[in-house]
Amino acid sequence: MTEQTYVAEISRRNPTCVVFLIDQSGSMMDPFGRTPGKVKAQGVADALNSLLQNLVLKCVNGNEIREYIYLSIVGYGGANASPALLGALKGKDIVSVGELAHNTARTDVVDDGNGGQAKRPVWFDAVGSGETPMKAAFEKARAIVADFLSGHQKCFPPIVINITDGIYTGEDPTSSAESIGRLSSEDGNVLLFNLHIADSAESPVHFPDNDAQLRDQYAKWLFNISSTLPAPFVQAAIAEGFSNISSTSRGFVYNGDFNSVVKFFNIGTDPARSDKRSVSVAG
Amino acid sequence: MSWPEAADYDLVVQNPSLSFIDSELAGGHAQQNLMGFPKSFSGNFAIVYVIETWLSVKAVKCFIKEHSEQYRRYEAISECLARLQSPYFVEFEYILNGIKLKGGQYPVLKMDWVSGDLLYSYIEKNIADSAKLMFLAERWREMAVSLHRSGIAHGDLQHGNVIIHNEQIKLIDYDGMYVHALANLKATESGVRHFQHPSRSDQFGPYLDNFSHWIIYTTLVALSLDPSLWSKFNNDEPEFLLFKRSDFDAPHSSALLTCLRSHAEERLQKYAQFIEQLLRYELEHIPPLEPELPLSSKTVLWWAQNLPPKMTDWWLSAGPPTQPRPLSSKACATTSAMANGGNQGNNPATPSAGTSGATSSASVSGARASQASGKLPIQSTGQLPDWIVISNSGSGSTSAVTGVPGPGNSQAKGSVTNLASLQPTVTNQNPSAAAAKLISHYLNLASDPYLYVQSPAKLLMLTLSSFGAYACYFFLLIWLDLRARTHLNKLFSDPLDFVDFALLVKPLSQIRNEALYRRCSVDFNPAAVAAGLALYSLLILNLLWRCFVPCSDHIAKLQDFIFMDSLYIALALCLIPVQLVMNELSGLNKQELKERSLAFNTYDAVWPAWGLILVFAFMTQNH
Repeated sequence: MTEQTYVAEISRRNPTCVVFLIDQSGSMMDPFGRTPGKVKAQGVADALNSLLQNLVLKCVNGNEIREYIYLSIVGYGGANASPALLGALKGKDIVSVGELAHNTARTDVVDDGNGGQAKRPVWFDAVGSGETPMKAAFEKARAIVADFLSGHQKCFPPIVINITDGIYTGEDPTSSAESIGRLSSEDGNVLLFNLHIADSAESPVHFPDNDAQLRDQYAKWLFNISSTLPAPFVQAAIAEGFSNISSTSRGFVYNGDFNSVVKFFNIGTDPARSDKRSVSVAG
Repeated sequence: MSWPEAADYDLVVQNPSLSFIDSELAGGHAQQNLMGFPKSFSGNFAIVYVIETWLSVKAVKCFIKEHSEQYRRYEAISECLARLQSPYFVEFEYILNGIKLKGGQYPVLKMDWVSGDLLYSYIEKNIADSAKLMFLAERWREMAVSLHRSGIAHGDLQHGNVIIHNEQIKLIDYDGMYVHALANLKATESGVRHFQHPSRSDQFGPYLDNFSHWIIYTTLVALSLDPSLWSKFNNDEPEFLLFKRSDFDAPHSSALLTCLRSHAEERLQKYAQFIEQLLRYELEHIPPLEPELPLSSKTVLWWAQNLPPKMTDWWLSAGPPTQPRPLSSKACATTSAMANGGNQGNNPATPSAGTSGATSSASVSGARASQASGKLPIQSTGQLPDWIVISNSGSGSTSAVTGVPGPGNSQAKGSVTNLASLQPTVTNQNPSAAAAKLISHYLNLASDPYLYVQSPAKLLMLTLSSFGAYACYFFLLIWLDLRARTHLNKLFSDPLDFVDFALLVKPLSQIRNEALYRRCSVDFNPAAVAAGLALYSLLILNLLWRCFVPCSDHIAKLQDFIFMDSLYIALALCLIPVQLVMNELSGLNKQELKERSLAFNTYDAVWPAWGLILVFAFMTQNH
């Protein structure tokens, strides 16, 4: 392993991988604390669809799609964790950004904000029922990432982004979470980021470097299993306008609003968005 | 300011009439991609859509992040490019409140859409056509010279930002551009790393592209000389051409550089050494790709061997061919070798370009060099390659173009044909654009970091050539004057007469009449004197300016020279009919006019003829 980590180029020859773990338990159908008009699952679905579209756009060049990135969307709710994409990609553990671009689940016609109608791609819908088998989700993510790494040892380290309202059911997932962080490519360890969306209207906490300001015990737990932000992410977070970011900040956001959900996604995938350029200049 | 996401733009560009403020864009529609969504191209800072309007196709850049001082940058770049009228850039317009989105208004950049091949696919398509690639390499060199001369840098030269359209190079994506007006800012990006010097970070200056120019030029020349390098070192990798970052980070373990160092083509060996040397420099000190020397003589070589080498004194630091300067250290030796490499690279008419197919060993090349350089004896030193002579010698260039005999020289013909058409950098401009370019050129001279002071030899040669050209100019005047006088049978004994004539102080009607002419030494026409003096003051000032302000290259100087002089002469021609009318109104009586009518007609027929000649010369020389 080289001295510097998280500097690998993300390219067609050396793509990376991002895994989204989406909480689809029953509690996700409750209203979001900071945006009461919207249920949490819907907010997450909108943010995820928008993020996937941004990632696709990042890799599109005219009619050509540059396969910089592989994506896995895993939902966990009820009994187990399983692939959550819809349409032609249903049931696939991992897809390339090109497959994603060519296989939208459907196209919604929505208000374009200027009084017109415009098309928007949809890959993922809001669903929620049953338990929160987070350990199964982490296990699934670990398997997907390990499989990806076996073919891409030199890649920019894969990122696992877990979106949950916090309270897991069943077995304690801590050890599974830690096992994800122990996987590595030649460029550094796999990263686990967590986004905790709560029912309360508490003010959000972005990328804290300690758990003192987190009162919720699940928030503290999620903070503790989150990876420390590597330098390129710290830069990206600062560029996105987050203050109080330090070199020991964790990849964790508590109770962000939906805008910050999108921003969180962006930061989590920023090196993937940095095109052909060196990640050291990302942001 | 928080910027919209790409997905936000994707939504609103579907309805241009609602989202765009600019009326042309509002009347257009967005091209679609295969997925049925707006066709887009992504960069680090922005997403570009293709909007077809009834008149043309526009590329519209929408920003997802902001550069520092973005507006100021685009303003300055736009202003500079409008002034330069450079053929390598497309026009663009930064529209501050260009697009409506989520209740806000955001800037867009509206550009002309350029069709053509991106550099990568152009190379891929033409990899078997050596002549075409060499042609492109020389076009690239011309562009590098032109940008350098204008004191601007693109900042992100890479295959994705270069479009080849009808064999012409167009650069796109000007986000990272350096122009003089932005001299106190930092770079916004550091470019694609496979094309950038390892020391590149946030430096910002006219030197920004120099390394990338060398890399791309070398790549094109190398692929032209040896197409098999493409499959060996690119191997369908779309992120770079031949060179990649690891070649720069660890040149000694680089497979590509190792291959080039031991390549049968001598020229490629030199390039490999040369690039390794460049890697030891700081970014600011990478020399520009220079034009070939228009002046080639022993004098250059004499100066070259008598001047101390300087890092930036690029072509003069070349060692002499006959008596190599003693080299105190290895570093010094390689510096010289590099300089040679630079010259070799710069010269579009080097024999190795023409005879590449034939040349496969150093001995052939050496023989060729001796032949090409004619009278200058060649002594290969090992350290100082002898072909520096070829680079600097006129006879060498001539030999190359007329074709140096080489066995089995199959591709030479094509290359030479192309190379012959590559006479340096006279951009076809209309006069106003050329004048604007010239002015900016002069304004930029003072900050030319490489060529400003260091070459007394250059300065002397420029001065001499200027004086030479002026001597020719005065000779022309005198000759025309004498011709006119012969025609009129009015040759005068006083040698100052024709000077008076040349200065237009004498009314023409008086010249036609010897009796009047004899009086005219005291009978000045004040308007003509003032006009003549003003004209000649301009000429003298122009001359002084040329003599004492060094220029980044001699071709530009000659080009400017011809242009300016043609302008002055055209002005002088304009004065003549004015003066004729004035003289006829005030001078001669009708009787005299009648008597002299034949002389008047024939004499004055000379002037339009002269005018036509000059106009013709002006047009041809500036084309």
